[in-house]
Amino acid sequence: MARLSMSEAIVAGLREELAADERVFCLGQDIGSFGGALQSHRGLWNEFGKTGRIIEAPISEEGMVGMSVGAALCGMRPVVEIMFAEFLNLAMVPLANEAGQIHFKTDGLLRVPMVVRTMFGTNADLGHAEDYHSMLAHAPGLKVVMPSGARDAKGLIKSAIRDDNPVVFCEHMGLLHARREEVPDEEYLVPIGLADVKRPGRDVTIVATALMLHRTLKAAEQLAREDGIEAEVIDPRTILPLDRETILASVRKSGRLVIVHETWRTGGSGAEMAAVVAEEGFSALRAPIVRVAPAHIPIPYSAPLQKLFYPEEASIVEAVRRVARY
Amino acid sequence: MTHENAATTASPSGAVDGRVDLLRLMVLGRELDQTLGRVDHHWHASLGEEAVIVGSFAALTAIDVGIPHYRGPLIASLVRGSDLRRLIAGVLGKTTGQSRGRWRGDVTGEVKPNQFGSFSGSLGPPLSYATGAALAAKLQRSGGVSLVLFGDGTVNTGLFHESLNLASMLRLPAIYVCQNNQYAISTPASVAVPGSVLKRGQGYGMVAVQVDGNDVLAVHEAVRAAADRGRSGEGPTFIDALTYRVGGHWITDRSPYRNADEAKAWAGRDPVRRLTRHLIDEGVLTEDDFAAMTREAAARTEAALAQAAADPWPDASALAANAYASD
Repeated sequence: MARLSMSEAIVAGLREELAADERVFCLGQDIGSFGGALQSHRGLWNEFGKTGRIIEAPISEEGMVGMSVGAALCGMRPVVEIMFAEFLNLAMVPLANEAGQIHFKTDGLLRVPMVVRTMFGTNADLGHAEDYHSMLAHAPGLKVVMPSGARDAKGLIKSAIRDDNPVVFCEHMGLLHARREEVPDEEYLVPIGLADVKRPGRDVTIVATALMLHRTLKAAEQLAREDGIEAEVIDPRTILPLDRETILASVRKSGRLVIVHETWRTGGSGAEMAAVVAEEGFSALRAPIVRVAPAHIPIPYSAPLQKLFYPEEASIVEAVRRVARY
Repeated sequence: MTHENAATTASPSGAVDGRVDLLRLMVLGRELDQTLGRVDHHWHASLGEEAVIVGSFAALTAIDVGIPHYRGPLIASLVRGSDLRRLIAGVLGKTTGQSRGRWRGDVTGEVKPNQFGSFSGSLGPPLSYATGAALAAKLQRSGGVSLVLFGDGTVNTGLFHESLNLASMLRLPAIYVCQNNQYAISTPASVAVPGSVLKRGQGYGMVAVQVDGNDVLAVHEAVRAAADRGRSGEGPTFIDALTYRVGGHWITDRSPYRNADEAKAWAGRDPVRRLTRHLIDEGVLTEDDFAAMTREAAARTEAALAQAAADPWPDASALAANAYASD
């Protein structure tokens, strides 16, 4: 076992896959000797630079993703970094319009085994927090993954690289270097499309991702202490394809669902989760489904405004108390 | 060039060569293209542009990746051995088409591990795929090159810029051929491309040449030289293949935005007639040979169309619960 940060865990997983499969290569801006923004590729240039598989790109997000699609169609397994998630929108055409659709449109002949890594999320430097993963989760054929910690992140990046579909791997900047977790030394994978019950409970189901998962766990402790409410906290880990079964099984037990995420409430990935449970778990529900997520306004800049903007422990607790009253 | 006769002569590397073969492919390609224009009122016809497509694709070997433009992908597919009936079935959306009706067969042609096309309605991604395929060839040390055809309208897109820049920066064996028919729907290249198409390519620090796109031998030679360059590690090439869109943007577009003199001037440079004349003058071909070639093309196309038209439609089994590739 080693205690790794989420960033170290992702790099460790990437290192293992680069060593095991010479079809895997990294493409990104400043990922050579600079080591990548926020150390996203730390040490990889030293180890793999001479194999020609750590490739630096200029500021060309659409071209980088399109080039990766082309390389993947020819048998390579690209891991392309679009430095910050707000730049993903530059690559919507090759990614959403095409990459996810090629397998279906060629009736299974061609595959696009590529990973798009990207960073997002509220962090100390207050920049590039925007997260448009919900728009990508609308595109058929893509997979969207969002780990909340080191252990899941290492297993998921390895699964993403081995997956024969285009996978968008979302890395929260407030978590990458924030805390360490125990990570097994021996090789392991975390399956894509499988949620994880991070805290079992029976009174309410709370689905939360990334940084919001950690705030939700704190809220759950407070709810247990103050209200005697035992919340079951689920980390989807994969946004698309969503693990409906784990969430529905939990709602059948608790009858109440709260969804917490950092991106805007309107049209956010939580809306899809809520619709799925409303359609398929209606008879189990004893209260409305509530989403705790920011208002539909741009992310403000000043630190006190950001504190008001993002869901905090208190707003999660309040939402649970609201559904508990039914 | 190797021995010319009526039979297909394939070189050991797999490339189609032989001037008569090139003519036969242009004749068959034109016949197929014009036949589909009678069946599909929105067909994007390639009349007059056959030399760019045949000349460039015929210069590829089996390990090279070819990506045609949305105008003429079936002609490109024929150069690399595709079945006529299957191509037509793909245009009609029949279950016997390659994708069983899942994707349009008119703008994409046959898809193979060494041949892609467009997978959405956007212009530009195929250029980035050529860059990516060239990167794969370099990393795999396969000795392969990639070729992509695109129109003069596409040189204005962001992906044109990014794809060529990446290929030049990374010194990749990619060949970018502008099937420059001088019109993007109703917008002339003379208006949309300040400077020139050739100057655009020159701006990326790669070898950039212009060829007479209606001279199939010139196109073939330019692509062959570019492929040699790529295989030798000298990086990408840009080729501005000047041609002309004889018809409208789609088959029923009468293109009132063009003047008749311009069309007349280009009618005298028809690529099929030019090569036919050249081969007859050289004693390689007779008028009867050409007539036979034309009749054969018509017969083959008519038979393939009849079969494809009678083929069944796909049913719900061609849909799926999700679009993923499974392990």
